Amino acid sequence: MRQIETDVVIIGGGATGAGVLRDCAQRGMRAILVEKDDIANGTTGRNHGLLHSGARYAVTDCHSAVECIQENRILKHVARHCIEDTGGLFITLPEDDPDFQQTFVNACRRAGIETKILTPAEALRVEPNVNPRLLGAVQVPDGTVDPFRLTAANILDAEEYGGRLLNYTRVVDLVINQGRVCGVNCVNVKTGEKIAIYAQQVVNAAGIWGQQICEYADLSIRMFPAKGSLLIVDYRVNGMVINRCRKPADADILVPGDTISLIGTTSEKIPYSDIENIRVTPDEVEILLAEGEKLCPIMAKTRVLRAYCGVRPLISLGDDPSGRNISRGIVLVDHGDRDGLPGLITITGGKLMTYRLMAQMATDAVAKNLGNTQACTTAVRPLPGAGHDDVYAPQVSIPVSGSAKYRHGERAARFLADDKKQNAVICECEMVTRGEIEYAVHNLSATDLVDLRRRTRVGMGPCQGKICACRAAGIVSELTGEDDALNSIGEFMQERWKGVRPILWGDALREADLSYWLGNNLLGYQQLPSSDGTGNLTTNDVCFMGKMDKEGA
Amino acid sequence: MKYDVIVIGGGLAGLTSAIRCAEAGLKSVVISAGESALAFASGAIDVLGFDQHQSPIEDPFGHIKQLPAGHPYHKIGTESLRQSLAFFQAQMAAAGLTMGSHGQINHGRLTALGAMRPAWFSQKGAHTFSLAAPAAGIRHVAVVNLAGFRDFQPTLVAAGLSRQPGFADVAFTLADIKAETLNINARNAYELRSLELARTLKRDLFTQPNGLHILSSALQKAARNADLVVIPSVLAVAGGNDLMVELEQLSGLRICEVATLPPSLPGMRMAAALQQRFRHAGGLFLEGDQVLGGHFEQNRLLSINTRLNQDISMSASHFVLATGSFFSLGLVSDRHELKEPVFGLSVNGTADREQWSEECFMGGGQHRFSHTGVITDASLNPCYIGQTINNLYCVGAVLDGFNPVQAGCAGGVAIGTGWFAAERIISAMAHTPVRQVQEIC
Amino acid sequence: MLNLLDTSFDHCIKCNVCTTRCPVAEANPDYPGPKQAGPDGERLRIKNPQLYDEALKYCTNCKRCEVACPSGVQVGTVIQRAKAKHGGFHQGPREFILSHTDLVGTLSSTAAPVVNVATGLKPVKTLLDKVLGIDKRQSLPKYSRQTFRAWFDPDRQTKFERKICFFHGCFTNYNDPTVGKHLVAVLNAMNIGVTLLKKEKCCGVPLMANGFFARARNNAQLNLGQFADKLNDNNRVECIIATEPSCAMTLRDEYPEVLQVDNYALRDRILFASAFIARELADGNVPKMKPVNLRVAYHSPCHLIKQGGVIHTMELLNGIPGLEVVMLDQKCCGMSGTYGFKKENYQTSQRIGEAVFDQLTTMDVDYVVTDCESCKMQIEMNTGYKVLHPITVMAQSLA
Repeated sequence: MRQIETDVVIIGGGATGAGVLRDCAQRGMRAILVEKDDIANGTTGRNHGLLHSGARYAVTDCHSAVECIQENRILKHVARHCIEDTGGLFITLPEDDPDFQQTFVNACRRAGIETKILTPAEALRVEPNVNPRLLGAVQVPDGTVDPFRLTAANILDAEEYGGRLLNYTRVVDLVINQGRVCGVNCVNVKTGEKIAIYAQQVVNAAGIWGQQICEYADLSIRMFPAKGSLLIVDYRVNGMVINRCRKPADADILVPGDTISLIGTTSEKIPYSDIENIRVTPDEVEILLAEGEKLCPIMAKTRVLRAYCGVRPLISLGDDPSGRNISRGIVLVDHGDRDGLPGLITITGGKLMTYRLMAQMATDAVAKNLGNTQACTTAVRPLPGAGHDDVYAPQVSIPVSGSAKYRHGERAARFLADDKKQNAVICECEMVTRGEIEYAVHNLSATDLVDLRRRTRVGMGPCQGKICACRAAGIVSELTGEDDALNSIGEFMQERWKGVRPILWGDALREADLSYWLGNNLLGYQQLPSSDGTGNLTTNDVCFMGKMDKEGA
Repeated sequence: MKYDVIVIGGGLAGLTSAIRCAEAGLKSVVISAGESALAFASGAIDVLGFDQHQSPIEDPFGHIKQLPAGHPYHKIGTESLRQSLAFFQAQMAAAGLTMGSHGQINHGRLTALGAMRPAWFSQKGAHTFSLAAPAAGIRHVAVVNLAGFRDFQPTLVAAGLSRQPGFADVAFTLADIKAETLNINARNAYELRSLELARTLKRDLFTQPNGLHILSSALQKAARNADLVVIPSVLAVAGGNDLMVELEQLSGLRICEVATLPPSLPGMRMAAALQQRFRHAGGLFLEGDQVLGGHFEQNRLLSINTRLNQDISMSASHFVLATGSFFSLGLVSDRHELKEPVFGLSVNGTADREQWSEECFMGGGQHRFSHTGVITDASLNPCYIGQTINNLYCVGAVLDGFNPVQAGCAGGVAIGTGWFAAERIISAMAHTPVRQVQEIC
Repeated sequence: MLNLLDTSFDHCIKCNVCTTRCPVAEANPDYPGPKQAGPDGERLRIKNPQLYDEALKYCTNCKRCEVACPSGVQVGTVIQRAKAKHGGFHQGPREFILSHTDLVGTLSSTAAPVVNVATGLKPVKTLLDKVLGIDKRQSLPKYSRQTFRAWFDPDRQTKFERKICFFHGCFTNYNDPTVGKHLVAVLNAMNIGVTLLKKEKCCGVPLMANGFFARARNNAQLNLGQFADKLNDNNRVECIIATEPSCAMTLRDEYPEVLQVDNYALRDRILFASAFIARELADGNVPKMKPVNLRVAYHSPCHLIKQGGVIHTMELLNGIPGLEVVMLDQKCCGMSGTYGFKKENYQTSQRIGEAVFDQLTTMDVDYVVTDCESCKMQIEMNTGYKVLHPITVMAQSLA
């Protein structure tokens, strides 16, 4: 067993965990983050990617609204390249209560969120695809945030300050010694290697999975998982975030995210035991489409690329099983104070939007326990990529350099080289070059195709990987020297398929039909014998080949 | 406008039908709504590659009787299938495209992931492996890319091939012949697609008197005396097969070209050869128009209308529907239905979308979308509002009852049903009184 | 109804077929090709207009990508619109002169002898090359001393009971009225009279190709108004006929798709000449013809392929006795209207045309036949062949 010693170990590679890693590292603490899968693979990467202005919460939860608008302003500065300042509209449709608009504007004013009331004509001018039946709109400083790149940028910055990421490392137990948590036992899920990490402070930032972490210490933190489903459409049907000006309800936010738009979310309470097996149902698809059309009628004839769902970690403190004391705000628990078990801090609840604040709160608690007096600087120091240096790349076309800068800010200069091989476009839908892929593997801890997608958008466009997966797999295999590139293609395509299957009609079905033909007929993927040479694969083997090989040890 | 035969769809099935009809002297036209699936095809022809357990089979004809009821092969019969394949091979030969085979058994076709698909015909230039012993006589394989071509990854070919029976102990050499070596002068050679690379090679290398020699010696150097050299199919479309033979003679190497992601040059070669044969036989090939619907009377389709010529209807004695599968828009779907869009013919579908596919993508052999299609009778005639249409034949991937990918029978079904429909039409035309050909004075 | 928001790019399934057909990408490595310039680029441009790639200027709008696309994506139109929206057109004096065909035509016809001699002179050609960027290796079309409209005699058409209206286009009117005269002869031989619009404006093809969309839209509205007057007149004009494929495509398809001018009510009555004549032949209205005893090679123009008109021209040619037609491979000649005249495009234009020129040099035919005046110029300049319009061949066979 490998043994590592550090000051702080953080469990969970979502935005919050990455934020804690960065904050700890910046304050001079030695810190290691362990994540059982890849970064941003949980709830962080499965939501709208909405940079709230707080307006959505203004009427119902003023405290959250104030948190949001404060973080909104901070992120627009420190995470410039992960943010798009699109602005947002809260539209009133004929079926909505017309008086709500005034209530809404007043509440926003109280929370310090600037608003501007637009006439229908003005709204249509700034957002031509918005439902022309609207009665009015309020403009607010909503925006969009890319959760994958935000998390990756936090990790990258943390690493540059000495922090470490161990992804694909699952915590299997807490190390408890003399009434004190003093580390975690982990397993690398790819190699099977066992690792013990000893630390003075353990931060549980595992989100919905945090309940299991607490159970290792027989502590009670009860999660009430709520599933939320979303749809992605092929291109940006809207330029601004569009909300309904009414009390928050299902499927009433349409967010432009990078090259696409997202409609969501539904909300359904599910048993905790189901959190690993959630899927988007046909009924949810119908609701999302019907409500999406009300925001932007063009949705009705726009191709849906994918569907996905995530789990919101709503939390109940204490032993109350009813969920009456459920909290939607940030929850910070120092188990030393609450449960008499020092060494463990749980940070949960909150939103993607407030990840930095949550990280600051958790790190403050850690610092206090460790006697570290360094001030938090995450609100003022820009993340890598958020700088203002210009990237000069005359050797590539505007769509290529523009897309690279959009994703990586000034760090794009590191891979937009004067080298034809590096500048060759690999993913044609999203304009990802070989250089960007190499950068993601070398600098952003991408280990395989699926990880690569979250760092670069490889395979996230309309083709859903059928053209670029093999190209990228070949490059990753060259770079990592690992020979399971073939398995990684199947795993990647299966991951894509999971999102396509709930919306399999029209052009998505055509795309899948072609993809199936190319993968299995032209390239004969299914005919590949398994790597141990025991003859051809069965259907199940192909489906789960990647996983089997990984966990086979 | 009046024709003997109107073929809707210009892919493998449609053109096989059309060539046969045109050769028999029928006035034939093909209407094709854009490029066919041949641009994504391997350029080899499979007849039947796998049994119901997904094991590769050597003898496709011996296995036909075990196919499930409703498979198009049961409708056309083994004899028609054999005749159609012979017809196809002869047509390709006449267009200068030699299709090789292993006599009466399948051979293995190598893919760009190092997998092996059973095939009946392969184009000259593609090495045909023995399915029983693919590694026979091979101790050393060189996988050589050209100019850093994006859609061919030697590491993947080698990884896949080394998993094949008998290849565990075979040595692999991986190489890339640099663009400069091949005299390629492109904006960025690493970004060229297969066809673009072929065009660049034609312009920058093969126009030189010693162009082929340059390539040949670069291959020799890269291959290090390998028993087999695998390269992507990027050398040429027209004449590509002969070029491979010349290259083998010049280098003394055994070279296998492998079809790559679209555009697939071997597939394009086949498309070009089919179109050439059709034109040669006097047929008219119309591309970029779409048939919108037809006028039916009782059991017959009388005429059709197209998107570009909505005001002018085109009539014919017989029609062939060869519009392909979903990606060719021969079949379409919305949230609740699978449909045949041209005429609204009966399709074997269900409204339950979750039944259209399987949870597992690549291994999802029973994806219904791949299996479903237009329901036809034993003569390949479909059903329109409860009526069998006697002068409309459905051929190729638009048909119901087979999974072209899973069973490895896409080529055979296309050629077999296309030819079968043509034979039906020819014989029906022979029994109708000869049309009065209007003499123009 | 008219679809004002063009989202056909949404249907692209990334099959790459369009990239195999683009004659420009084949000849000019600086052009990223129709997939990137069209549907791929459109998603990026919608995200951020700054991602517009100025290399879109190389597109000739030949529409071959649209013909090849199995998904119904109007690739060429997507690109044209993107150029219009993002300021992708260079508009100098050269573009003005080349595109305002009716204005320049009116001026030049008046002084035809002078203009024709002048534009043929080496110093003038050099001057045009240096100052305007009109390639000196190209021969500018000559102007006719007498316009088609001046030649046309409406009184001789009154005796026919059936009537059509001929949209002659700029070339026939100002540069070479031959095809127009032949059309009148052919239709008259079929007992059909010809009328003209009271006022006809350039269809808009060269204007759109050079980015003058507002001007093109004005022309479209004027022309459609004229069509409506003609077709709704009690005098029973059956339809509008054009002999130039690009004019016909523009009047039928580009008005709604690119210019967003609704022609829905009239579209079916705007026909390419061959379509009308082929239908007449099929209906038994066959003029008296004598065998021409010719072997010709037929070159199908891009814009005729796009509008599905090749079938009609082939029917027409097949109806001419003693005519043997060899169909060339359907390749682009590279001229694309005004494109090939521009100095910076000359090489690309020539390279594109090579396939056609090469095929012709190996052929033994009497003439080349094509429907398009721009193809005719390019083929005549680059091969030894004389090029005839199908209507001209038919006129020659009239007994």
